[in-house]
Amino acid sequence: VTRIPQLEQELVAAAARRRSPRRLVRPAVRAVLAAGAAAVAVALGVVVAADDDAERRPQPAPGVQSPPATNDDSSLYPSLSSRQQVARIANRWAPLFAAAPNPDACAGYDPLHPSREVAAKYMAQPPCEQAVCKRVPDETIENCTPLSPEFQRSFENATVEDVAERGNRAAARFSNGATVVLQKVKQSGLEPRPPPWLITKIGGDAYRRFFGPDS
Amino acid sequence: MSPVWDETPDEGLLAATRSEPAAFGAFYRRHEDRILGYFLSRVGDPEVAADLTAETFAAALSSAPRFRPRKAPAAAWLFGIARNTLAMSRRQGRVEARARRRLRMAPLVLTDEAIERITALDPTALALVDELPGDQQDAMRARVIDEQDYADIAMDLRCSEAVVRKRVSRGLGTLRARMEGK
Repeated sequence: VTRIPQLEQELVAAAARRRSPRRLVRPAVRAVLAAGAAAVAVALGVVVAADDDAERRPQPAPGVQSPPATNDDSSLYPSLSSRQQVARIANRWAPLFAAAPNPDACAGYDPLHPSREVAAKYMAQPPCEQAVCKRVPDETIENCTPLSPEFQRSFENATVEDVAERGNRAAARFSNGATVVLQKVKQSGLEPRPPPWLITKIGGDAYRRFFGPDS
Repeated sequence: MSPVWDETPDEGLLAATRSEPAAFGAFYRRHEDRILGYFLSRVGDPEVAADLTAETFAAALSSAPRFRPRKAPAAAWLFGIARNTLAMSRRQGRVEARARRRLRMAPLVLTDEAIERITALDPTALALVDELPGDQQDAMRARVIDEQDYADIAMDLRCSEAVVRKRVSRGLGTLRARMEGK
């Protein structure tokens, strides 16, 4: 075991991305493919955005007023309170997580749809991999039980109902009864900025620890 | 991760990185402690040391295809990157992150356990090197920490190999005496 296992995993994943077949495609072919993909993405984006606005935007919980999620510009986060930041991140993460993430998505992107936002964006690497029992690039985690598809799907329309904070950690309780733990991310000049909180644990005893009578 | 890489020399790991990502994982495991210890002794903060370590290995990963074993051993090459990363970060007043950005690496979120493991690294010996006289310090760093050849150090320091050997020997003697005295 290394002192920072996450870093080892990140480096191996980065090395895997560097050898990705996409890098071997000739630049000219790549440019043509990119232009085509961009045109399709724009067309789809308009349709999906309209859909999102009409149906999927999560309603803020009574105790946690989350500003409307107009876009995901991380420069907006500093203007929110910690509780609002946690609520916004958890609300954005839930439907992505419910969409049964491809194990490759823990690498931080969906290889089939590189521009699509993935749940891993809002998660630290270990819980993402633990959820699917697959380690990046392609290693099965032994003695690991993946989260059930039913549990994952239950996040589809789930919204944050309550947030509890404890120092650098926070927990968000969803309308489906599940609780996730988030950890504050130290911003060290990385651009693009990561979300200010990342999900580090899904379910487990988080509810009791943050919302229970002895919390 | 396959343990087979653990027996491969550094140069082989760097050469294999392009086709076998796990090879770079083994390279990281092998040098993690020394790079972390190097930064910890200079910045004193485990989280900043971890950030600098992440940037150093990311830069090493990006440069691995350009690594030429004949020029310098891999450890010396890696410490060269570490020194540059530290110097650049000090100049900018924040931890350099260019290499991680380029590789689209996720930000490091250190657990309490990881911070404990980093803090457990004993930077005493490295800190004592800082207290050595200037000429011994340079020779010690180049030889013991960066693992450079005596000939290369002599060229860098513009003196003979014999002088470098003498400075390293004196430095080690002083270090040993101080460690025993602690």
